[in-house]
Amino acid sequence: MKEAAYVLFGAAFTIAAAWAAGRWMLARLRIDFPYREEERAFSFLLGSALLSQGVFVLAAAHVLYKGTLLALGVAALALGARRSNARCFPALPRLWVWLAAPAFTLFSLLYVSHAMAPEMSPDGSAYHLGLVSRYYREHGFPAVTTNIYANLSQGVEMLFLFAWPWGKHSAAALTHLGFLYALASLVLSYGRRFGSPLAGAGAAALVWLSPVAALDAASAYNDVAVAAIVFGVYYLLQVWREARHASLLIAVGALAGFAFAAKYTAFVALAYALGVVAWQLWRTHWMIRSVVTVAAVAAFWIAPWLVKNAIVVGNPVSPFANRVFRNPYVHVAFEEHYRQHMRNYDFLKSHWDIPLEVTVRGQALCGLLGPVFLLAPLALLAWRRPHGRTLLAAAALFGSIYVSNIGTRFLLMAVPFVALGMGAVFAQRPVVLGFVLTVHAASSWPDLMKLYCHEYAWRLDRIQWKAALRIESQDGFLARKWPSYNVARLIDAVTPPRGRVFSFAQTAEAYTTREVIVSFQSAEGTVLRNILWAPLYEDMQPTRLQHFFFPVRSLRRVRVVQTAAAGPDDHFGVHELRFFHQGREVPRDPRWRLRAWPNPWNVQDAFDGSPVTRWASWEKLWPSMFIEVDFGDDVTIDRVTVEGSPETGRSQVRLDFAPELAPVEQEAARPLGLRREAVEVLRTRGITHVLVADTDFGHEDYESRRDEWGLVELGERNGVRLYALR
Amino acid sequence: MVLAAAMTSDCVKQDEVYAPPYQRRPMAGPDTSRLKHFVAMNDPDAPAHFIRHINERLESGLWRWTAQHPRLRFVLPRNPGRLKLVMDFTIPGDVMKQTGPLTVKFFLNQRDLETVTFTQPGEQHKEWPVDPAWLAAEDNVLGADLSKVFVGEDGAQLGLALVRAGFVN
Repeated sequence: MKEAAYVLFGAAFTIAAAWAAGRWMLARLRIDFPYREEERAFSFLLGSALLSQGVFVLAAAHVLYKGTLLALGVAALALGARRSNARCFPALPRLWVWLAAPAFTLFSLLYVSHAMAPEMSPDGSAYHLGLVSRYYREHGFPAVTTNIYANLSQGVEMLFLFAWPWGKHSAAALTHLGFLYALASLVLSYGRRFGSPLAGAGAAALVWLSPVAALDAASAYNDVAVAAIVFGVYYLLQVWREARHASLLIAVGALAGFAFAAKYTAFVALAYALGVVAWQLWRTHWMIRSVVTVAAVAAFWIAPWLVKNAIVVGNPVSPFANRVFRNPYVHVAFEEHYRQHMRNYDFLKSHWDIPLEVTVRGQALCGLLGPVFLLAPLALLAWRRPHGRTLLAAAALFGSIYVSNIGTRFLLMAVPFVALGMGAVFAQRPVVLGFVLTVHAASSWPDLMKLYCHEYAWRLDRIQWKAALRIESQDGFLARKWPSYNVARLIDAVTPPRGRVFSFAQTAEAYTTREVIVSFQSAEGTVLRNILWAPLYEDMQPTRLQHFFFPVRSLRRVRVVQTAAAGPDDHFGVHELRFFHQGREVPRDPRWRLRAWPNPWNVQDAFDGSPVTRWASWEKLWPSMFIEVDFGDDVTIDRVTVEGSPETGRSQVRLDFAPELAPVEQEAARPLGLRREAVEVLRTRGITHVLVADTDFGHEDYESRRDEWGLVELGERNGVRLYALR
Repeated sequence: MVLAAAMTSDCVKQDEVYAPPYQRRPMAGPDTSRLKHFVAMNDPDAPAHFIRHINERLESGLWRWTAQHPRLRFVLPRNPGRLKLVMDFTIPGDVMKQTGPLTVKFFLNQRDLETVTFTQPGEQHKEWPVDPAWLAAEDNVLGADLSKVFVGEDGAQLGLALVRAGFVN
């Protein structure tokens, strides 16, 4: 029970501090919302933006301690403690309230109990909170170059970080849940303010009851927070269109900037805000000033994340745009694969299945909005009204981001607008609206969801009150429910404090204090994965030799140029580049200077003598990729051998000093002892342990031939083995 | 703003130049300055592996003649893993026409691997599991003793058409 109290305190302190900071901001800007409900919601959203920024500053300054966070929160509370002059909206019809109250209570119990229960969402326990826990442990931002998620903007995670010292994981999830209430409240307020309380109430219920919104909000994710912030931008702009209060533009800029700070894809909120302001003030002398005001205020929230990335990983918008901002930490190939993967989830058979997946089935795209959202096209009927047109335009704009990631939760940015459109249409027949909402509520309750959604749909379970109140301990609950947690605890139990663990798959990093390098989260992870795969995949072994024989020459520099035209998927790679004279290899000399393009950073891998490493372009073939050696002095050679692998078989090479010379191809034998070599190389790269799951490629080989690999099994949890490198 | 961030990103140099890394002796892979663990006869480095009775001349870009007692040497990495010894060769019809059935004794270092009598010409693939105790610390010598060889008019001895041999995992 004590832990539960800490969880509640952590979340309540965070939400209260955010709300108070927002109250202070609204007062400073002299923005007086006439209605208390919207004032509260906007106070929370704007204050979250401020609080997030405050935590960022503490993290950047490496002064993240319980005391500094407490001081920040107390200061916010002190500044924001003031009375409100706003009045409440006219009361909703009593019948509505009586009808909604039981459902609101029941679902709130479900949501709060889930948020308070030990966090076990896949991404929340892996990186959202994995990074938060690391930042707090290290009292600030460490230079993380092995996890792309550390490069994404983390505005909402800064709030989690604020809640962390008190309530840890669950306080973070509960804080996120606060955004669902804020969002529903805003949607309701929107309807009430703009003349259709019934539509607003219906839309708020559609959003609030949506299973994916609820589960996302009850987890340490950020999608619901982003949806709330984006809707806040839209709402404020609608208010500004009527009131034309210049200070509102500062609030718009703050929320638009915070939207980007919370999630890259929410940059459209700023584009939308600038577009609306420019359009509304077109050809007035206020236009430029107003647009600049919004952009400048937004920049205050956007810039820190861009600058942090530029400093740490050399790419302000990492992990994207790696062709423009080339860097050693994220491969171009990874980015292309990642984008592709986000548009084509593994379990989705056809894009035609998306409507049913995101509304009813809920497995392939991780979550469902609820079956009533199959009626979403009816929202188009709202087009007949001016507000409807604005809503639908916003829905289209914010929904367009969905193509970049087709997971259901990426629709959440557009859902409030669609829901308001649906609400406006159904509200014309209150009975129909009541029926739709009843069906929505019933079909969103976990026991009834089981009847129609996929068995493995991502959804809430029953009310978890024992776990929420810690009557069942966190350890017991997670050990029983969350396999990844057991793995994380194993890591902490048997590895040294400075251990670096390589894992093929994501694990619950929020529950371990060790650094985990995940194979698909960085260039380094991918290279380490390939080193461990090389002994298992013949195509990744250096058996493709290309010899260039020529009359003896003295050369200072040799460049091997890739000449094949752009290919579909193949990369250019060189395991070893060797130079010979009269049959003997010219020994490598420290005076040599090695270069390669693209991906210059791994060039040494082609000169380390190891058959499990290679330099690779890590992007698709194009002519004039190269690898080059400057000997520093004239060196006499009569042969150049390029050792490659069948995997890069489409590449073709020539020597720059003799472009007419064609290589003699030779298929070499597979090198011996690759397993031991792979582990040795991992060790030289600072890896101390490896995690292998029963679902990972080659897991039988790591297990059955661990002596050959040089692996010592330290333990197994839920089909995942932890090995030490011997 | 993006421009400022982009300028900051110049902290990562675009045109990186490196020296060769420390040349530790790999735990696996060939010591390419000298010998390998496996050699195809069309490998430019193949002759370095011949001790005796293997012709220097490459035939058809693929194989070489052996004489009656061919010997090859190989080196192995420190931790080679589980090994097999492999030999691919052909007994040409013209050879067998003159010699009749041909008995070949194969051995690794001082250890007999197998003695086989071939009664038909054709391609042969031989594999033998290798006990680590049979291996030498330095050069490992694979040999074959042929009972007979074809002797040409010029006195040249022609035995097997050797394609490749050596250790594999």
